[in-house]
Amino acid sequence: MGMAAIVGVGETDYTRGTALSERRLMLDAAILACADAGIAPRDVDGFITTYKPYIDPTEVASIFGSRDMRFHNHIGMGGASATAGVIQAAAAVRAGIAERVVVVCGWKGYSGDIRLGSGDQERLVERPGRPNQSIRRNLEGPYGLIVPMQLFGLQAMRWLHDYPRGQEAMEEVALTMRSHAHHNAKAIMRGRSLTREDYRQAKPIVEPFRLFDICQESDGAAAVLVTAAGASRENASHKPVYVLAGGQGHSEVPDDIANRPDITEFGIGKAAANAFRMTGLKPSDMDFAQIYDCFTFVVLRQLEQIGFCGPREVADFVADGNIGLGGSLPINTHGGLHSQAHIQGMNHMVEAVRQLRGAAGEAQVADAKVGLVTGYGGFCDGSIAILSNEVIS
Amino acid sequence: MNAPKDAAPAPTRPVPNANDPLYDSYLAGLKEGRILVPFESRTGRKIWPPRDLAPGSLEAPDQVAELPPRGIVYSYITCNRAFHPWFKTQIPYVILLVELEPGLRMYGNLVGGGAVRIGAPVRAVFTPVGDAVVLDWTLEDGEDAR
Repeated sequence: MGMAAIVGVGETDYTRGTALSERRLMLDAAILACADAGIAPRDVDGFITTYKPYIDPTEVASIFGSRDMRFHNHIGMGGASATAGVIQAAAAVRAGIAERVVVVCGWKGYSGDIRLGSGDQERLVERPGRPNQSIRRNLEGPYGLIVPMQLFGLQAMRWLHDYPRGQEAMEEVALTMRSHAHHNAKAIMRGRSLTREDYRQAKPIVEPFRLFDICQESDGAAAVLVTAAGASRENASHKPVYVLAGGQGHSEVPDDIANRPDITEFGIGKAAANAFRMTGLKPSDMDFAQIYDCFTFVVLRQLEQIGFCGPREVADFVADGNIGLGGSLPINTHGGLHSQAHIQGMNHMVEAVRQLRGAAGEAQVADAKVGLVTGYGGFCDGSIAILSNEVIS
Repeated sequence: MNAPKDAAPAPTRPVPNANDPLYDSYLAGLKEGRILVPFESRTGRKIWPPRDLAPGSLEAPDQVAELPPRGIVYSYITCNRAFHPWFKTQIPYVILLVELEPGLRMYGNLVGGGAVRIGAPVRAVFTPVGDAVVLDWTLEDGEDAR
């Protein structure tokens, strides 16, 4: 069985406000991924849409002119969806179910109908489509508990109660991601400085989160094209980036944060252990990590649970520039959701591919050979992928 | 205040879905000022949140258990931003996650004010909202003086 590889990436403009629909953004990103791969859209035979079903995979296939669609799926696990989709695409091509699978994610987090950071989201209270809508409607909605910054805030408050140094670590994450954005041409926050004073003086939104603990809202889409590693490509201009391993990890009670044994326990630790076992690699082998960063706290808990450091060691781990460019584990070298754009983490996947192509520009990690990407979302669903520009087995 | 003539009706607090059979006993209990949860008698376990089948035993809940109307604060958030029109009138509002017995937790808003902390004892408040009753919490007497 051959290895699966990402052979194309595509990104629309990342903006605050756009005249384009979510559907059009997703189509544009998918088409760009095909062009980058040197594969004609009509030759794509697998279609995975992630996050919300703004466009059905069959519609993408129809527009692409793919006359032999072999694989169709939509993954709706919030911010975990994009990375989970890439793993599923890799599994599909390795199993021979399809040969060329496009995975696309997009939304209008700033100008669309779901604006998770502000505005009136009362529709979410009664809106079907969230897992276990009965819990959402009956046990959360009556308290105004509606959006992710609140659900993750409850976890962060408990974590900080047991580990007060987490606060300084949260600050370090926010500042590091902003510093990386200054090197990224697509970053919405490029050139906008963020000082320690700015972070500390920022207004509390949902305590314990201050403004800069919370990711931004953006419009845009990104996509990748996954093939079997040896698949012929007429116009290949990039080396493949291999999907070595990955998977999903969920909390013990995946649909209810309140009643899981420990609300600070992230399921991604289980997925990471499995992915490292599959590759024979360990966390310290990673040249970089693109860690889903809906909130600063979520980055820190993932670093601990993935095993980059032990529990309650993350404040030391992220200090002294260790997670910055030039540090032992640069994270979110594009600026992350926080400071590049919130494209539901598909932008993290694209940045990982760029790093492994040696095409990350000013943010290039020297001699990057292997890196890790995570997705996180929903009610704490986690996904992880380990990528490399070499076949490691 | 001069409200425009065609002003939208004042926003109201969201309430649980009265037509969700899984929550019948819980919602009926709130109307009596009691905290009732589904119970599965074969394994003797409370099923919370309500589910069609008891996790693990896969038996349907067949009884109802009553919990004492008090607990301790397991976690909380203070919200300075609202995501629903009614809650805009409540800013800042506190959402508590309260542990009623080991591993069994319920949310609620903090009513009556006071300085909340993890570990603080709280007691249940049954808040009427239209035809419904919503479970909230208030700090136990003397707690705010700590």
